[in-house]
Amino acid sequence: MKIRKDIARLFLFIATVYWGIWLGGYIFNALMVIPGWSHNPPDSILNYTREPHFLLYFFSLVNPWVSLASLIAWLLTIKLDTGARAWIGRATLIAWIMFPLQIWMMITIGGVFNAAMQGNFEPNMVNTISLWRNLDWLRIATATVILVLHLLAILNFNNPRQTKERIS
Amino acid sequence: MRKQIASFLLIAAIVVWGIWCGGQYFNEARVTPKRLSNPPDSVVAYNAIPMNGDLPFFFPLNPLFFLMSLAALIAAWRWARRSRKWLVLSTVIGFGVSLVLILYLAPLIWSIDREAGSILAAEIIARADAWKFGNRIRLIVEMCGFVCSIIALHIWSAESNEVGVTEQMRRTNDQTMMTETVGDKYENS
Repeated sequence: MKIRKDIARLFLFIATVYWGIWLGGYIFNALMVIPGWSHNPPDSILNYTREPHFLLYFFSLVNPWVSLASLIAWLLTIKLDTGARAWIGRATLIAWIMFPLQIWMMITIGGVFNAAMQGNFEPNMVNTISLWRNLDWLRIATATVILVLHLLAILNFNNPRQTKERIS
Repeated sequence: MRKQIASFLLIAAIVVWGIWCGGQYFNEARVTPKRLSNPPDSVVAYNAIPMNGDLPFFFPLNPLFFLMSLAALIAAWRWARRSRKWLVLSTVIGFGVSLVLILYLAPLIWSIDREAGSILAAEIIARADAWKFGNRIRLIVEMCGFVCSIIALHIWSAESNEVGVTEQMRRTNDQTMMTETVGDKYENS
Protein backbone atom coordinates (compact mmCIF):
# COMPACT_ATOMS: atom_id res chain seq x y z
CA MET A 1 0.00 0.00 0.00
CA LYS A 2 2.93 2.32 0.73
CA ILE A 3 4.35 1.82 -2.79
CA ARG A 4 0.92 2.43 -4.32
CA LYS A 5 0.56 5.62 -2.32
CA ASP A 6 3.97 6.78 -3.58
CA ILE A 7 3.02 5.97 -7.19
CA ALA A 8 -0.29 7.82 -6.76
CA ARG A 9 1.63 10.80 -5.39
CA LEU A 10 4.03 10.66 -8.36
CA PHE A 11 1.18 10.61 -10.88
CA LEU A 12 -0.54 13.44 -9.03
CA PHE A 13 2.68 15.45 -9.37
CA ILE A 14 3.01 14.56 -13.08
CA ALA A 15 -0.63 15.50 -13.73
CA THR A 16 -0.17 18.82 -11.91
CA VAL A 17 2.95 19.69 -13.93
CA TYR A 18 1.15 18.73 -17.15
CA TRP A 19 -1.92 20.83 -16.31
CA GLY A 20 0.29 23.80 -15.40
CA ILE A 21 2.13 23.59 -18.71
CA TRP A 22 -1.11 23.02 -20.62
CA LEU A 23 -2.69 26.09 -19.00
CA GLY A 24 0.34 28.32 -19.56
CA GLY A 25 0.73 27.23 -23.17
CA TYR A 26 -2.91 27.81 -24.00
CA ILE A 27 -2.93 31.22 -22.29
CA PHE A 28 0.19 32.20 -24.26
CA ASN A 29 -1.44 30.93 -27.44
CA ALA A 30 -4.66 32.87 -26.74
CA LEU A 31 -2.88 36.11 -25.86
CA MET A 32 0.03 36.20 -28.27
CA VAL A 33 -0.49 33.80 -31.18
CA ILE A 34 -4.20 33.42 -32.00
CA PRO A 35 -4.67 37.20 -32.55
CA GLY A 36 -1.96 36.91 -35.21
CA TRP A 37 -3.62 34.29 -37.39
CA SER A 38 -7.27 35.11 -36.71
CA HIS A 39 -7.47 38.83 -37.39
CA ASN A 40 -7.97 38.63 -41.15
CA PRO A 41 -8.62 35.07 -42.35
CA PRO A 42 -7.78 33.41 -44.71
CA ASP A 43 -4.79 35.68 -45.49
CA SER A 44 -3.65 35.85 -41.86
CA ILE A 45 -3.88 32.04 -41.58
CA LEU A 46 -1.81 31.60 -44.74
CA ASN A 47 0.71 34.10 -43.47
CA TYR A 48 0.95 32.26 -40.14
CA THR A 49 1.33 28.78 -41.62
CA ARG A 50 4.02 29.86 -44.08
CA GLU A 51 7.43 28.37 -43.24
CA PRO A 52 6.61 26.40 -40.13
CA HIS A 53 9.79 25.46 -38.22
CA PHE A 54 8.67 23.60 -35.14
CA LEU A 55 11.51 21.94 -33.24
CA LEU A 56 9.49 20.85 -30.21
CA TYR A 57 5.92 19.68 -30.03
CA PHE A 58 3.39 21.31 -27.79
CA PHE A 59 -0.14 20.17 -28.63
CA SER A 60 0.70 16.52 -29.35
CA LEU A 61 3.01 16.36 -26.34
CA VAL A 62 0.57 17.83 -23.84
CA ASN A 63 -3.01 17.29 -25.03
CA PRO A 64 -3.35 13.49 -24.95
CA TRP A 65 -1.65 13.10 -21.59
CA VAL A 66 -3.18 15.70 -19.28
CA SER A 67 -6.54 13.99 -18.79
CA LEU A 68 -4.90 10.56 -18.79
CA ALA A 69 -2.40 11.49 -16.05
CA SER A 70 -5.26 12.78 -13.89
CA LEU A 71 -7.27 9.61 -14.48
CA ILE A 72 -4.33 7.35 -13.57
CA ALA A 73 -3.66 9.41 -10.42
CA TRP A 74 -7.32 9.11 -9.42
CA LEU A 75 -7.46 5.37 -10.12
CA LEU A 76 -4.36 4.85 -7.98
CA THR A 77 -6.00 6.60 -5.02
CA ILE A 78 -8.89 4.10 -4.95
CA LYS A 79 -8.91 2.31 -1.57
CA LEU A 80 -6.16 4.60 -0.29
CA ASP A 81 -6.81 6.52 2.90
CA THR A 82 -6.08 9.94 1.47
CA GLY A 83 -8.03 13.19 1.42
CA ALA A 84 -6.69 13.83 -2.09
CA ARG A 85 -9.11 11.38 -3.69
CA ALA A 86 -12.16 13.64 -3.67
CA TRP A 87 -10.21 16.55 -5.17
CA ILE A 88 -8.47 14.54 -7.88
CA GLY A 89 -11.82 12.86 -8.63
CA ARG A 90 -13.49 16.21 -9.24
CA ALA A 91 -10.58 17.38 -11.40
CA THR A 92 -10.63 14.19 -13.48
CA LEU A 93 -14.39 14.37 -13.92
CA ILE A 94 -14.23 17.94 -15.23
CA ALA A 95 -11.28 17.06 -17.49
CA TRP A 96 -13.13 14.15 -19.07
CA ILE A 97 -16.37 16.13 -19.43
CA MET A 98 -14.34 18.71 -21.36
CA PHE A 99 -12.67 16.04 -23.50
CA PRO A 100 -15.31 15.94 -26.30
CA LEU A 101 -15.14 19.74 -26.53
CA GLN A 102 -11.36 19.51 -26.92
CA ILE A 103 -11.73 17.01 -29.75
CA TRP A 104 -14.41 19.11 -31.45
CA MET A 105 -12.25 22.24 -31.19
CA MET A 106 -9.24 20.43 -32.61
CA ILE A 107 -11.22 19.08 -35.58
CA THR A 108 -12.96 22.43 -36.19
CA ILE A 109 -9.83 24.56 -36.24
CA GLY A 110 -8.01 21.92 -38.30
CA GLY A 111 -10.84 22.15 -40.86
CA VAL A 112 -10.60 25.94 -40.98
CA PHE A 113 -6.81 25.84 -41.48
CA ASN A 114 -7.11 23.17 -44.19
CA ALA A 115 -9.82 25.19 -45.97
CA ALA A 116 -7.65 28.32 -45.87
CA MET A 117 -4.60 26.47 -47.22
CA GLN A 118 -6.55 24.72 -49.99
CA GLY A 119 -8.34 27.91 -51.06
CA ASN A 120 -11.77 26.70 -49.88
CA PHE A 121 -12.22 29.26 -47.11
CA GLU A 122 -15.86 30.30 -46.80
CA PRO A 123 -17.00 33.65 -45.29
CA ASN A 124 -19.07 31.94 -42.57
CA MET A 125 -15.87 30.37 -41.22
CA VAL A 126 -15.12 33.74 -39.62
CA ASN A 127 -18.03 33.04 -37.24
CA THR A 128 -16.59 29.59 -36.54
CA ILE A 129 -13.24 31.18 -35.64
CA SER A 130 -15.01 33.66 -33.36
CA LEU A 131 -16.90 30.83 -31.59
CA TRP A 132 -13.69 28.81 -31.35
CA ARG A 133 -11.88 31.73 -29.70
CA ASN A 134 -14.63 32.10 -27.09
CA LEU A 135 -14.60 28.38 -26.39
CA ASP A 136 -10.82 28.55 -26.08
CA TRP A 137 -11.22 30.96 -23.15
CA LEU A 138 -13.84 28.64 -21.65
CA ARG A 139 -11.42 25.71 -21.67
CA ILE A 140 -8.67 27.93 -20.25
CA ALA A 141 -10.99 28.86 -17.36
CA THR A 142 -11.85 25.19 -16.87
CA ALA A 143 -8.18 24.18 -16.91
CA THR A 144 -7.49 26.79 -14.22
CA VAL A 145 -10.13 25.14 -12.02
CA ILE A 146 -8.68 21.69 -12.78
CA LEU A 147 -5.15 22.84 -11.86
CA VAL A 148 -6.39 24.34 -8.57
CA LEU A 149 -8.22 21.06 -7.79
CA HIS A 150 -4.98 19.15 -8.37
CA LEU A 151 -3.18 21.49 -5.99
CA LEU A 152 -5.91 20.99 -3.38
CA ALA A 153 -5.40 17.25 -3.85
CA ILE A 154 -1.68 17.68 -3.12
CA LEU A 155 -2.53 19.84 -0.10
CA ASN A 156 -4.84 17.12 1.26
CA PHE A 157 -2.78 14.11 0.21
CA ASN A 158 -1.55 13.39 3.75
CA ASN A 159 -4.95 13.96 5.35
CA PRO A 160 -7.21 10.95 6.00
CA ARG A 161 -10.16 10.44 3.70
CA GLN A 162 -13.34 12.23 4.79
CA THR A 163 -15.90 9.45 5.06
CA LYS A 164 -19.47 9.94 6.33
CA GLU A 165 -18.66 8.04 9.53
CA ARG A 166 -15.61 10.24 10.19
CA ILE A 167 -17.55 13.44 9.57
CA SER A 168 -20.34 12.35 11.93
CA MET B 1 -6.04 31.86 9.59
CA ARG B 2 -2.49 32.86 8.64
CA LYS B 3 -1.73 29.25 7.82
CA GLN B 4 -4.68 29.22 5.40
CA ILE B 5 -3.41 32.42 3.81
CA ALA B 6 0.00 30.76 3.40
CA SER B 7 -1.64 27.72 1.75
CA PHE B 8 -3.62 30.00 -0.55
CA LEU B 9 -0.50 31.94 -1.55
CA LEU B 10 1.39 28.69 -2.17
CA ILE B 11 -1.38 27.47 -4.49
CA ALA B 12 -1.52 30.86 -6.26
CA ALA B 13 2.28 30.84 -6.68
CA ILE B 14 2.19 27.38 -8.28
CA VAL B 15 -0.62 28.42 -10.66
CA VAL B 16 1.42 31.46 -11.76
CA TRP B 17 4.60 29.33 -12.05
CA GLY B 18 2.68 26.83 -14.20
CA ILE B 19 1.28 29.53 -16.49
CA TRP B 20 4.72 31.08 -16.85
CA CYS B 21 6.51 27.79 -17.61
CA GLY B 22 3.78 26.60 -19.97
CA GLY B 23 3.84 29.89 -21.84
CA GLN B 24 7.60 29.81 -22.13
CA TYR B 25 7.51 26.23 -23.36
CA PHE B 26 4.88 27.18 -25.96
CA ASN B 27 7.04 30.10 -27.03
CA GLU B 28 10.07 27.81 -27.36
CA ALA B 29 8.13 25.12 -29.21
CA ARG B 30 5.91 27.14 -31.54
CA VAL B 31 6.97 30.77 -31.79
CA THR B 32 10.77 31.00 -31.49
CA PRO B 33 11.49 28.43 -34.25
CA LYS B 34 9.33 30.46 -36.62
CA ARG B 35 10.53 33.87 -35.53
CA LEU B 36 14.25 33.04 -35.44
CA SER B 37 14.36 30.41 -38.19
CA ASN B 38 16.25 32.62 -40.60
CA PRO B 39 17.24 35.94 -39.00
CA PRO B 40 17.06 38.78 -39.80
CA ASP B 41 14.44 38.08 -42.54
CA SER B 42 12.28 35.80 -40.35
CA VAL B 43 12.34 38.40 -37.54
CA VAL B 44 11.21 41.15 -39.90
CA ALA B 45 8.50 38.89 -41.38
CA TYR B 46 7.24 37.81 -37.94
CA ASN B 47 7.12 41.37 -36.65
CA ALA B 48 5.16 42.42 -39.73
CA ILE B 49 2.25 40.12 -38.75
CA PRO B 50 -0.52 42.44 -37.54
CA MET B 51 -1.90 41.51 -34.14
CA ASN B 52 -5.53 42.32 -33.55
CA GLY B 53 -6.47 42.30 -29.86
CA ASP B 54 -3.34 40.65 -28.51
CA LEU B 55 -2.64 41.04 -24.79
CA PRO B 56 0.66 41.09 -22.91
CA PHE B 57 1.99 37.87 -21.40
CA PHE B 58 5.63 38.42 -20.42
CA PHE B 59 5.44 41.64 -18.43
CA PRO B 60 2.60 41.01 -15.98
CA LEU B 61 3.69 37.44 -15.33
CA ASN B 62 7.44 38.02 -15.16
CA PRO B 63 7.73 39.59 -11.75
CA LEU B 64 4.46 37.99 -10.58
CA PHE B 65 5.73 34.40 -10.28
CA PHE B 66 8.66 35.64 -8.19
CA LEU B 67 6.49 37.96 -6.06
CA MET B 68 3.91 35.23 -5.39
CA SER B 69 6.68 32.81 -4.36
CA LEU B 70 8.12 35.48 -2.07
CA ALA B 71 4.70 36.20 -0.53
CA ALA B 72 4.12 32.47 0.05
CA LEU B 73 7.59 32.13 1.62
CA ILE B 74 6.96 35.04 4.00
CA ALA B 75 3.48 33.81 4.95
CA ALA B 76 4.59 30.20 5.52
CA TRP B 77 7.96 30.98 7.17
CA ARG B 78 6.75 30.65 10.78
CA TRP B 79 5.35 27.11 10.38
CA ALA B 80 7.53 25.79 7.57
CA ARG B 81 10.27 23.39 8.66
CA ARG B 82 11.29 20.89 5.99
CA SER B 83 9.36 22.78 3.31
CA ARG B 84 11.33 25.95 4.00
CA LYS B 85 14.26 24.96 1.78
CA TRP B 86 11.92 24.21 -1.15
CA LEU B 87 10.12 27.51 -0.65
CA VAL B 88 13.44 29.35 -0.55
CA LEU B 89 14.69 27.45 -3.61
CA SER B 90 11.56 28.26 -5.60
CA THR B 91 11.79 31.95 -4.63
CA VAL B 92 15.52 32.18 -5.39
CA ILE B 93 14.99 30.55 -8.81
CA GLY B 94 12.13 32.98 -9.46
CA PHE B 95 14.31 35.92 -8.51
CA GLY B 96 17.22 34.68 -10.64
CA VAL B 97 15.03 34.06 -13.68
CA SER B 98 13.38 37.50 -13.39
CA LEU B 99 16.75 39.17 -13.08
CA VAL B 100 18.27 37.34 -16.06
CA LEU B 101 15.20 38.18 -18.13
CA ILE B 102 15.19 41.86 -17.23
CA LEU B 103 18.94 42.41 -17.48
CA TYR B 104 19.94 40.14 -20.35
CA LEU B 105 17.35 38.18 -22.36
CA ALA B 106 14.65 40.84 -22.80
CA PRO B 107 17.09 43.62 -23.91
CA LEU B 108 18.73 41.10 -26.27
CA ILE B 109 15.51 40.09 -28.03
CA TRP B 110 14.36 43.71 -28.14
CA SER B 111 17.63 44.67 -29.83
CA ILE B 112 17.07 41.89 -32.38
CA ASP B 113 13.53 43.13 -33.05
CA ARG B 114 14.59 46.76 -33.26
CA GLU B 115 17.71 46.38 -35.36
CA ALA B 116 16.82 43.44 -37.64
CA GLY B 117 17.28 44.66 -41.21
CA SER B 118 19.20 47.77 -40.24
CA ILE B 119 22.52 46.26 -39.07
CA LEU B 120 24.71 43.42 -40.36
CA ALA B 121 22.90 40.08 -40.68
CA ALA B 122 25.81 38.26 -39.01
CA GLU B 123 25.38 40.38 -35.91
CA ILE B 124 21.64 39.61 -35.73
CA ILE B 125 22.33 35.88 -36.25
CA ALA B 126 24.91 35.90 -33.43
CA ARG B 127 22.46 37.65 -31.09
CA ALA B 128 19.63 35.26 -32.06
CA ASP B 129 21.86 32.24 -31.32
CA ALA B 130 22.86 33.71 -27.95
CA TRP B 131 19.22 34.40 -27.10
CA LYS B 132 18.05 30.91 -28.12
CA PHE B 133 20.78 29.29 -26.00
CA GLY B 134 20.02 31.50 -22.98
CA ASN B 135 16.29 30.97 -23.37
CA ARG B 136 16.64 27.17 -23.32
CA ILE B 137 18.73 27.27 -20.16
CA ARG B 138 16.20 29.62 -18.59
CA LEU B 139 13.36 27.26 -19.54
CA ILE B 140 15.07 24.30 -17.83
CA VAL B 141 15.74 26.39 -14.69
CA GLU B 142 12.13 27.61 -14.68
CA MET B 143 10.81 24.05 -14.84
CA CYS B 144 12.97 23.27 -11.79
CA GLY B 145 11.45 26.28 -9.99
CA PHE B 146 7.93 25.11 -10.87
CA VAL B 147 8.59 21.56 -9.60
CA CYS B 148 10.25 22.95 -6.42
CA SER B 149 7.11 24.97 -5.67
CA ILE B 150 4.92 21.84 -6.04
CA ILE B 151 7.23 19.86 -3.73
CA ALA B 152 7.10 22.77 -1.25
CA LEU B 153 3.29 22.61 -1.20
CA HIS B 154 3.31 18.85 -0.64
CA ILE B 155 5.81 18.99 2.24
CA TRP B 156 4.10 22.07 3.65
CA SER B 157 0.75 20.24 3.80
CA ALA B 158 2.37 17.29 5.63
CA GLU B 159 4.14 19.39 8.21
CA SER B 160 1.31 21.87 8.75
CA ASN B 161 -0.80 18.83 9.71
CA GLU B 162 1.96 17.69 12.07
CA VAL B 163 2.20 21.17 13.60
CA GLY B 164 -1.60 21.29 13.88
CA VAL B 165 -1.68 17.96 15.72
CA THR B 166 1.23 18.99 17.98
CA GLU B 167 -0.46 22.29 18.82
CA GLN B 168 -3.72 20.49 19.58
CA MET B 169 -1.89 18.00 21.84
CA ARG B 170 -0.09 20.83 23.61
CA ARG B 171 -3.39 22.66 24.16
CA THR B 172 -4.99 19.46 25.51
CA ASN B 173 -2.01 18.95 27.83
CA ASP B 174 -2.21 22.55 29.03
CA GLN B 175 -5.92 22.16 29.70
CA THR B 176 -5.35 18.91 31.60
CA MET B 177 -2.60 20.52 33.67
CA MET B 178 -4.81 23.52 34.41
CA THR B 179 -7.68 21.25 35.49
CA GLU B 180 -5.31 19.26 37.70
CA THR B 181 -3.88 22.45 39.25
CA VAL B 182 -7.36 23.83 39.94
CA GLY B 183 -8.38 20.46 41.38
CA ASP B 184 -5.30 20.37 43.66
CA LYS B 185 -6.01 23.91 44.88
CA TYR B 186 -9.64 22.98 45.56
CA GLU B 187 -8.60 19.87 47.51
CA ASN B 188 -5.96 21.78 49.51
CA SER B 189 -8.42 24.48 50.43
